[in-house]
Amino acid sequence: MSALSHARHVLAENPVTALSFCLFALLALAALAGPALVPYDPLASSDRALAPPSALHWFGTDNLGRDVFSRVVVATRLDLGMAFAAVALVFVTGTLAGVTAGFLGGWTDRVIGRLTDTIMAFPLFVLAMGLVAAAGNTVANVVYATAIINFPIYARVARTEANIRRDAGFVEAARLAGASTATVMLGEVLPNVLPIMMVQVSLTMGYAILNTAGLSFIGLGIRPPTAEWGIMVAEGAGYIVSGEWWIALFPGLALMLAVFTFNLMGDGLRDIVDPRRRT
Amino acid sequence: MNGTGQPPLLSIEDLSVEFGTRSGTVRALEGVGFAIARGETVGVVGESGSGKSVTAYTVMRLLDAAARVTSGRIVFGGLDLLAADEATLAEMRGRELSMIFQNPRASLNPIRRVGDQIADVLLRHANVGAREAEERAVALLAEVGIPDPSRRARAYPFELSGGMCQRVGIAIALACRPALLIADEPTTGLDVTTQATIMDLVAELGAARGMATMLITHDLGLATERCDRVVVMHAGHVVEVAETGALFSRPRHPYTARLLAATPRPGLSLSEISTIPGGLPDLRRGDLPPCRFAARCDRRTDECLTLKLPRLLEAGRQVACRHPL
Repeated sequence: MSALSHARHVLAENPVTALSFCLFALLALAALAGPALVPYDPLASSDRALAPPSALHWFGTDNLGRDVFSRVVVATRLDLGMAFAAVALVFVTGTLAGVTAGFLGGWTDRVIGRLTDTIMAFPLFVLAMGLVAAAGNTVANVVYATAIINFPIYARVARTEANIRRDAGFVEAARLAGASTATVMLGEVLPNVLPIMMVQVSLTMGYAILNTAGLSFIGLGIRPPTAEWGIMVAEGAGYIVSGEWWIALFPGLALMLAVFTFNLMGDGLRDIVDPRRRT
Repeated sequence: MNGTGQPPLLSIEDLSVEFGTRSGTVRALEGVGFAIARGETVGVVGESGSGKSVTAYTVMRLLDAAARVTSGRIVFGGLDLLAADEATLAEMRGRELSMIFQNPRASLNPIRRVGDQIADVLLRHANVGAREAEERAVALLAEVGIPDPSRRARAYPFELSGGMCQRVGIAIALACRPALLIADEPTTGLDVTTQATIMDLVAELGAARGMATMLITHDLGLATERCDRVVVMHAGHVVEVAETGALFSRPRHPYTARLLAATPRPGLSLSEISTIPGGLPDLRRGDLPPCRFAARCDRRTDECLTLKLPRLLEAGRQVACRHPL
């Protein structure tokens, strides 16, 4: 009964999950090997500007004659990388903060609770814009801002899940067996919260991709001519009215595909990490 | 205490515990006192709400934050548990003192393998490495009668039956050979045959280790079968402590007598089983009489409601009643 055979079982049982994993594999391939796979240099302009999709340029070319397909594929690494970094950051900080608040209660809970309330009091995208604008227009700040606006989701879910287990029989049993508060919290309660947080990772991953792309769309974080989905949509938006729809459409579809994949993966991931289904 | 002249393993003296609640102070325990000798099995019986579990949790020093110990001492092997610091207590729990629970499944972590949960206690207290802890966890599973222990060690609690989970609970509790085991209604959720095997297991392993057991139960039949002595509790008071045989053949406290008369026995029809009138008094009241059973008692006199209770002590027996049977 290895985790691998269990994963295989879940995938066979649920074709939608299998599909999401295939799409994820495609995205991962594009992110890891993208620059080596594409037919053109994503930054090199040519004299075939604004060419519609053809056998030569699958997704057409943009106003500078750059190959849209190559740019969309190469951008995967940057877009997923930023979103992944932000989610990894908030997964660790948000989960730990939430579990601590929910398990210890008292003033720890109040401080962390007010902090999340404060963040949630803002329209989150506007807050992310403000943070990047104030802290400096860099890729790192886009990652931090994305992590910060996702913090309340993680902290609240982890807090609730830890809180309902605070007086669980196994927590009491662990204490009675001589475990310290930190051991009980990190060794007994945290593992029970993690499966739920893993699902959150997949769900917020899509949101984080949209957020980082959205910030680039309005000109924060990544700068042209870097290939990035948000910037490409922004650059292509002006050409839609004049009929050159492919410049904005394909990066937009890539964004949609990525968000869709991670949302689909959420459920499948839950089935895999939940040992109650591991029979 | 028990005539051997040795100091008892656990001695609870004049223990009072209160809970501060929104609707007033609940005097959950008042002047509770009894002792347990090494290797002895003592039953603590009483109806729900009589303070059995509060007593156990006070011994373990794991009371709710709302609870306050207002008087008394709990001496365990020469150490006053109520005065001990948190580090000392963490050392004691699981090693010298351990506990098995009413709901065995809930007391195991649902997403961790049972073998790891047993190994945890060994790693914490037994000064062994990870590999040895794992081996000993498997050996313990075998000892508590779980077939195919090396495979079961890798099982999750939901894959085991209630009886199996309780066996795992016992394995955890006994892993470090504690001097005292507190069993809080260990067989309540289990069917009768499983009950018997679980209790046999506790008795057998306890005897092999020279372990004392505090068996908390509302099942008088179980207490009769398994205990050397029985402590009867009612509304936060210890009303009677006696050797099992003496208690059942000749109860001295009216409440004990009533409890015995209310116990179903073979050959007794339902109409012959008596009930105890009334219920437990509201422990939030400020004007509780010295005898908390008085309102339900047919031997009550005015003195019961005003004068402090006598502690009648005869050979190995303690009865808190002005008019004992």
